Amino acid sequence: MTDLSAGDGSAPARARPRAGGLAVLAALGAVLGLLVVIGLALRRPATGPEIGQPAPDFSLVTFDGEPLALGAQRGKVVVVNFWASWCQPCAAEAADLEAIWREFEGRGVVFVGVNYVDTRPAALAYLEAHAITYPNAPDRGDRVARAYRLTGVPETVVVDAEGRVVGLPGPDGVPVAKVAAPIVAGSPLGPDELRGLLDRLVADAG
Amino acid sequence: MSAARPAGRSPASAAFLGLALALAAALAGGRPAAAQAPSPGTPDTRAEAIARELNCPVCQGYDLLECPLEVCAQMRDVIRQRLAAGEDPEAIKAAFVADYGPQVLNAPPPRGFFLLAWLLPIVALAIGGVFALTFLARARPVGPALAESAAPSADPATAERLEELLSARDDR
Repeated sequence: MTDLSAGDGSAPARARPRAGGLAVLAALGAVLGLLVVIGLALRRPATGPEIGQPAPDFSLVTFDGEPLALGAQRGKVVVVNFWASWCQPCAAEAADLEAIWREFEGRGVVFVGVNYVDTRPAALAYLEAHAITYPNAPDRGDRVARAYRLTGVPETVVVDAEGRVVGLPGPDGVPVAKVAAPIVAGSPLGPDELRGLLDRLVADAG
Repeated sequence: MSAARPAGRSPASAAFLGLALALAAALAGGRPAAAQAPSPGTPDTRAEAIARELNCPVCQGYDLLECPLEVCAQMRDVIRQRLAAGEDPEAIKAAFVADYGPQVLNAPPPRGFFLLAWLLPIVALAIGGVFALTFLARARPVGPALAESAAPSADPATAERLEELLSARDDR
């Protein structure tokens, strides 16, 4: 009789830990699956622009409604400048950028202004105030800024005729893929340094 | 013992139910406050309600309503202008997502990948609740079961003998 009751009692007792183990396994599986899903969803280009590597491509629509794709500029040297109407250092470099653009306009150089986090009326007022004539486009959905790992404005990237990122003078004399400072006299990449660089790149391309 | 089990389990499930109800109340309490504001009210309060549901796209942790940046003031103006033009709050928010990316929304939209952010806490709570209930259901019978099984094992004769030995030891 004691045997019988012991048998009755131990059977569910033995089955329960097995069910518990299955539940723990299922929970672990669910957590792992979730991590994989989150990892895949968050996967994005691990790096921004890198010297000598193809520049991250983008296609935008300018404030005038014209399509503007980086990939379509192959064969030309492209200066990509990120700016915003609320950014004061951007205003400091605006006149020089426009002047350099006019000097190089007919020599296989393209300037592209990418407008970062802004409102259309304020951006248009800025372009008018600084008399900027090269193509400018809003970065809708913040996509180009993310592809270029923007850390703020202004930032400037130069792309050679083969579509590769050009090394620019950095603060410690080390070349950088993008300059995170305004292009003004006294900066590692000032207006004169940019002119010299564009001269060299145009010569290389020709 | 079998009669004791349902009675023993009910405090645990009552506690869990209470927790779930409190959570549901908290969730339900939070939502109408956000959903209510846009419909009636002056244009300014409607614009503020929309701005409160959006983030500053530049600084972390600021909503569009409280952000002191100039660009956020401009964005609040855009909201007012679009409302004045008769645009629907949802359409305005959609336009902001198109311009500044989904991160401009304070709360992720309950669609696609972002649905996980809404569902996971509920799933985690449910799984945790099941584990807690299983643990409580298993832990509870141990106390009474031990008491019941321990008591009959000491028959009166043994108990008497034990008592004798113990008192003899105490006297020494």
